[in-house]
Amino acid sequence: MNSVLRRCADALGIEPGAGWRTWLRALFLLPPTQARPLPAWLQAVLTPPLHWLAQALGVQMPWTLRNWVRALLLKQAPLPAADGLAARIYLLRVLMVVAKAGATLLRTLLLPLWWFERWLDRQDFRRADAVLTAAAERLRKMPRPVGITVAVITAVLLALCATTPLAPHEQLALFLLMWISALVIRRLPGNAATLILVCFSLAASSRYIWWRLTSTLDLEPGLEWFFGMGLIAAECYTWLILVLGYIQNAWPLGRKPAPLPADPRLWPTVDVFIPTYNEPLHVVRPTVLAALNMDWPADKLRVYILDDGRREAMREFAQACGARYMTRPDNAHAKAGNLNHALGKTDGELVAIFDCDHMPVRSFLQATVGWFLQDPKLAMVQTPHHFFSPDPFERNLGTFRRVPNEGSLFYGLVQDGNDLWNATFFCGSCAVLRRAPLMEIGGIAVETVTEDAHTALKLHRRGWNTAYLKLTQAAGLATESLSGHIGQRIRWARGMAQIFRLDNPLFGRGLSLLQRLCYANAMLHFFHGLPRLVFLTAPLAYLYAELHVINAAATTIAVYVLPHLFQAGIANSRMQGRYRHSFWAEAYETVLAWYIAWPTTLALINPRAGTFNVTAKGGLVERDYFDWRIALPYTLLATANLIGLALGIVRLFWWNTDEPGTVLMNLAWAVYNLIMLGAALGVAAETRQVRTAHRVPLRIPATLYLPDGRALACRTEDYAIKGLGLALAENIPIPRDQDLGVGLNDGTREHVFPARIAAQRGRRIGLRFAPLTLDQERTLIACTFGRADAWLGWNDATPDDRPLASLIEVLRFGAGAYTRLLRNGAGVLIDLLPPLRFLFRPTTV
Amino acid sequence: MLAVDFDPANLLAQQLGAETQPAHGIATTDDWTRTALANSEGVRVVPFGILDPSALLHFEQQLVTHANWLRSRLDEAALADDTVVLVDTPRLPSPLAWHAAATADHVLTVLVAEPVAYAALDRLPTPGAARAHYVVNAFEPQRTVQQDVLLLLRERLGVGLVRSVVHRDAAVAEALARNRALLDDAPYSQAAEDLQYLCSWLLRTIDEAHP
Repeated sequence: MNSVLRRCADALGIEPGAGWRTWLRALFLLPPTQARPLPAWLQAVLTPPLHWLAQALGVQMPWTLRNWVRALLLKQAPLPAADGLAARIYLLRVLMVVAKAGATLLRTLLLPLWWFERWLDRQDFRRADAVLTAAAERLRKMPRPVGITVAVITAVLLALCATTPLAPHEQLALFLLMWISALVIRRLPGNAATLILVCFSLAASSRYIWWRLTSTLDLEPGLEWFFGMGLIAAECYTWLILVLGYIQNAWPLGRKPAPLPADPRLWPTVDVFIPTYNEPLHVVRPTVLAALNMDWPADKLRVYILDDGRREAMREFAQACGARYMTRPDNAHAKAGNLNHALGKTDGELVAIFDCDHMPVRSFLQATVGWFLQDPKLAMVQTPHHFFSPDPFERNLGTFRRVPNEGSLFYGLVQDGNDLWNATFFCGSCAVLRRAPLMEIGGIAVETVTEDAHTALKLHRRGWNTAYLKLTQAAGLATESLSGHIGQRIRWARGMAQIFRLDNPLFGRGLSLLQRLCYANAMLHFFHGLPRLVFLTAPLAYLYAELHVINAAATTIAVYVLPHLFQAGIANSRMQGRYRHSFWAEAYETVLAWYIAWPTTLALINPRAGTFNVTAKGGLVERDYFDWRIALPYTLLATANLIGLALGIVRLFWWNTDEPGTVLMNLAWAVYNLIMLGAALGVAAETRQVRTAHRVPLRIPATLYLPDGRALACRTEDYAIKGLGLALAENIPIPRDQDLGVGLNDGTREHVFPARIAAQRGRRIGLRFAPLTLDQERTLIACTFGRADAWLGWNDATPDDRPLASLIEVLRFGAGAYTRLLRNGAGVLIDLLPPLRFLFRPTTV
Repeated sequence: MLAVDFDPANLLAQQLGAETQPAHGIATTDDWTRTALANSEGVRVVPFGILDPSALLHFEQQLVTHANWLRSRLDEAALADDTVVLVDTPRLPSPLAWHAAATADHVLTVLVAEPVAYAALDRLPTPGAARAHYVVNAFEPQRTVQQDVLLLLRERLGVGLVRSVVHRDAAVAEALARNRALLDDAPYSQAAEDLQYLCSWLLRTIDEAHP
């Protein structure tokens, strides 16, 4: 063995006892003192391609590595002999070969892991999962001290994990161990694996934040200290939200509807409130009709239109359709005041509240009321808010039904997680409340602009329970315009900040610890604006002014921050994968950050300032345009990061060659910021809406009645308020401009609606309904939006989270947005400088 | 499967593709198995045959006295065990209909969703051993009266009423005029779809009753 080693060492020209680094280097590089010519055969093989590559890339002096790197990274004037295009193609080929070789090597190295994963895939873990679920259920039934003891032991162990000091290489080993285990555990089904991943993430993130707090804050007084403190504050906030989020979402309850007694005489009376202010009648109509269609004893169901707009047409409509119409002398406290006025004038045992554009399905009450009869302390049942039109984010990014939207995380996971801790919030619509507790707390809360969450908080303080039913039982249109959408978010953020100040859930009586934490997380979550802005600008401190805001070597930072980011990413992707896709949520938050940072701060300082805005709905974005007003802050931030990027490259090669790690870290950070800002800019580019009515897919049998007495069997494709898409079994020409009938089944009987052909393309035809009578309109709602199964399985189409694919997609959108920005920027410049317009006009010949 | 026309109108053969009315059938000759016709789809149909009014009267009287007339006739034919025999009868209260109903394992009564038909429900037979089923034909959902009668029928007949209806559809008459089977002539008409549903329902019901 020794002789072999010595012979090898001799051949390489090093000492046999040298360290592995020297060996490695000697394998690839010749020490300068021992410069020998390459073996003739190697020279013969290597020289031509190298020579040719150097020529192609324009490397001036090919014998130094630095020149190669520079040639690869920076664009240089090609040598006169080289053809630019060909050079690039060769470069690509070479890169591809290198990448392929690397991939093969990696695959060989990971082969054992792959085998292990295959073995794991063959195991059935459902039994283990069932055992764990049963154990959790047993623990829940044990006396309180047991649960508390377990919680304390877990917390102590985690704290130990977080605070044990490790050398950087040990920390790296820990990271690799956790990462590889996480990649394997990720494949196991069930909530147990999720909890393990959460523990990994808690350990990694807590280690990071502990290390940051104890070892990196030794900053120079002045600007460095100021920025460093800002950054650490933002990071602490992120850590807190992460931990609270894990607590909140660890175990979604998954409540099922409770059955009602067989005898309808035992069912409670229900008042349905539909408050409206300025929404047009055609928005309110379907909601009222859908509410009247709900399956409930007629003498126990009263539908009220609460019209703060005091419109005659609304009153007439109410009278015609059998709803009750109510107005009040003033408009004090907007929607909350409107509801409170109605509460004073009615006496139903339960109150169902729908925003005027949320159409309930017929089974809404049957699905929700059961729990009120089971649990006498239950004050509210909330169901998800569902939107069948894309919100501005989804429309502008083109992600409708492909990537879960903002709401789906809240209604898919957060509320279900809250339900476990009896901390479900009221969301203002699609909910049923018990009148008695509501009157006990003085009606809907009016102190803040988010009356709904505050009302639930007050109910919880009084010891009432709330429940969440993850079953879409109502749907509506999403806000149309970006500014409206952002305005709504601003209102939520401000309202939550107000509650945080006026009625802080962490203090005061009546709440359990976990209710406090859930509420605190819901409110603190809306303070993400300022920290996000800090993260978007943090690398600039170094790139612009060489301020070291973290006092540690870049490699040390990396071994702490990478586990934190990776483990949090893996745990969240696992926990929220169906309701939130990695990186998209960051992009959404980035858009909102600027706009909610100021209102939340303001509301913290003076919670009583501000007014209530009504979000406009039912409009139409008629042409593509770039919302400069909204994009401006992000354009500025992107420009700042872009300049930082340029400065960073200068620093990397010339100014700060002594600390390439720090420069690279800040560069990477700036690049990440640019990607997120790109997606934010993509949101600001408003896409034109083509259809006035949003179509909902629906595939059920239908019958088309032709004027000559024939009846064609067909299927529906989609529907809207005004029309219906049908698919015939074969291409049969249908006469235009003739009165047709289309028969739809609502489950008990067939209804025929008069309609005309709007378009026919092959087997597919579009029908437009003729003017319908009120009764027909009502049955149409029952056959379409009011179907009990209308929204069932809507979200099954959204694919699960694939973090890497998500990142690539966000990147793609960002790139698209930057090009649009440039194009629009040029357009704006042209508009701003009319005198220069002649430059852009074609010259007349 | 064998279709037997037990209606003196003698139209079933023509509905199933025959071009002229066959003169002989189950009612006119003892050697009735030879009168069976088969169409291009392989459906075998036994016509009723043409009887003059006095002969018809005689035939009806014979049925009244010989309650087993139809059954013994069918036994003569030595059909395979799993053969389903569909007997088309004139409308009630014809003695032919009564006779066929008394012989059958299943009776499918065709109704229209009209107030008159509802009023006539009381006179409908409740056949002894046979299972009674009802189906609504020529349904026009555009007409409120038909919708209401359908609801009443559902309430009255319960599970006896086939859940789906056969819609009124001009395609049926058109196919008959062209002497083509409805399924070939207008395969995607609503009536064709309804009839196909009815067929599979019938087969399933028979299968369940006689496994």
